[in-house]
Amino acid sequence: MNKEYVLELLKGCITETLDDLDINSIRHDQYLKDLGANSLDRMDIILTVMEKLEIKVPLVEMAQTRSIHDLAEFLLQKKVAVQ
Amino acid sequence: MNVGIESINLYAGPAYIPVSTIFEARGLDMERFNNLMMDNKSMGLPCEDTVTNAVNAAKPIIDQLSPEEKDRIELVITASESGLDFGKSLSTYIHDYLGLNRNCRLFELKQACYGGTAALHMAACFVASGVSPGAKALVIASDVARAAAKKTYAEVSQAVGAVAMLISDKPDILELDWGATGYYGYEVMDTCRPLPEIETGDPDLSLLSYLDCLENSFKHYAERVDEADFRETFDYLVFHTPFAGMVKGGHRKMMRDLYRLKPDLIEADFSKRVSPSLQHCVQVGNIYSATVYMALCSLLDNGDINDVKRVGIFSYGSGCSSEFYSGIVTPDSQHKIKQMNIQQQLSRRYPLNMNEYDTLLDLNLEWIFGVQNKTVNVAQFSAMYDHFFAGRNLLVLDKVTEFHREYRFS
Repeated sequence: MNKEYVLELLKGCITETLDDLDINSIRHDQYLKDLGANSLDRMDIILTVMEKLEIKVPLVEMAQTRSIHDLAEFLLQKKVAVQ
Repeated sequence: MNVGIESINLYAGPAYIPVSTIFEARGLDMERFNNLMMDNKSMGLPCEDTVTNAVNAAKPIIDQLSPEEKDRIELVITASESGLDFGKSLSTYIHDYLGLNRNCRLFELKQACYGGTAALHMAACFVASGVSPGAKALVIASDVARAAAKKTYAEVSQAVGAVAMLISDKPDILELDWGATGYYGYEVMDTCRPLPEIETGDPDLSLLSYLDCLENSFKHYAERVDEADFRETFDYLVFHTPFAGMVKGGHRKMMRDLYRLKPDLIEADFSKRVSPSLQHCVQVGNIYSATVYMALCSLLDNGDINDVKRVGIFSYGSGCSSEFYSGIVTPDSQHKIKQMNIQQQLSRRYPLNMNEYDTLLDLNLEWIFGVQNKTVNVAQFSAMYDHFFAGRNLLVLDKVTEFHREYRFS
């Protein structure tokens, strides 16, 4: 598993929740808020991606605002830590 | 011993404004309106504070008691994050205006919106301890919003109100499942009131902390209660409800995490087990330490309680401390709460327009913490006062003399 894999997984989860968003329009320097995700959408996106990665991170650790790129990096680190 | 809530009542202010009116006037994003799941927000008047709200919630309960029963109230605990003095507790004023026995412990506690639950369990432990057989405790959670930051999404949910609960060995409203409770707390700076005039924080962090606490307090509950199952054990669920959308998110997370349920099944479960607790909340907004007990009132007023039902209750207070516990309600609980006419009280509130609402926000600002000498001028808000208070024997603030607050019945 590498960062590109997590990025694509994350983008898939984003478009699952924000279903009118074009996956190709997501830039890695954007924040979930920039894409129109409200706080409950962001919760859904994070829960979905954690389910798919089979990791469990306290949600308060996810509260720090991160770009899509940094979020993927953070999730990858958490995945590597449990492997 | 059976211990729990003998009586309960909600006081949720004399006026309200539709949340959609605030959204339109402030130019807020209407897309977020639906996620909040809120209809109205309660507003208080300058003649009100956490003491008047508390007494107006508690008096109908006290008035139902015989003199002998009233004299057995040996403990009054107020829970609030909007106290009026660093030293003197709200309970002293409340005890006075309710005319309670002087052989009574009076004090106040706080832990943000968890305060009401902390007080309830401390009172229940006092009753169950048997140190004074037959004694009762009066617990009142009472809060008012601090000056709302206009044009924020927090403004629309910040409301006023109080819930009073009589705790005893005659738990007609809710019998606690004794010992069936789970806790979860840790230090986090999500929302807070660091100055008299503001409440502030990070709403996203608070939402995520709430969700972590829901998961982990239930986990602790399940460790202590054999075969506890989030989906099967509880006929109804009552959560702390800052806004109903947050409860929906919490319920959805639990059902996803524990059962991997599809959205339509989660939605059906939400409608059946959670929605009855939200009906009052969507008409009032967040009343902080009292909110989860407003949700309990709502369940009892609106649920289909045709038999003995088990209720799972989740309480969260920023900062943070949380608890998941359970209890039993019966058709008699529903019969008893109906005597309080809560929905009629909510329907009686004065409907504010935006100008009246903004005027009240400014007038209420003059009455924040620390007033030394000041007299209430009812003429400034006579339309609302006459509509809700005049001649109804409700407690109102009259004046403050050298920090001492003086009240009267309307």
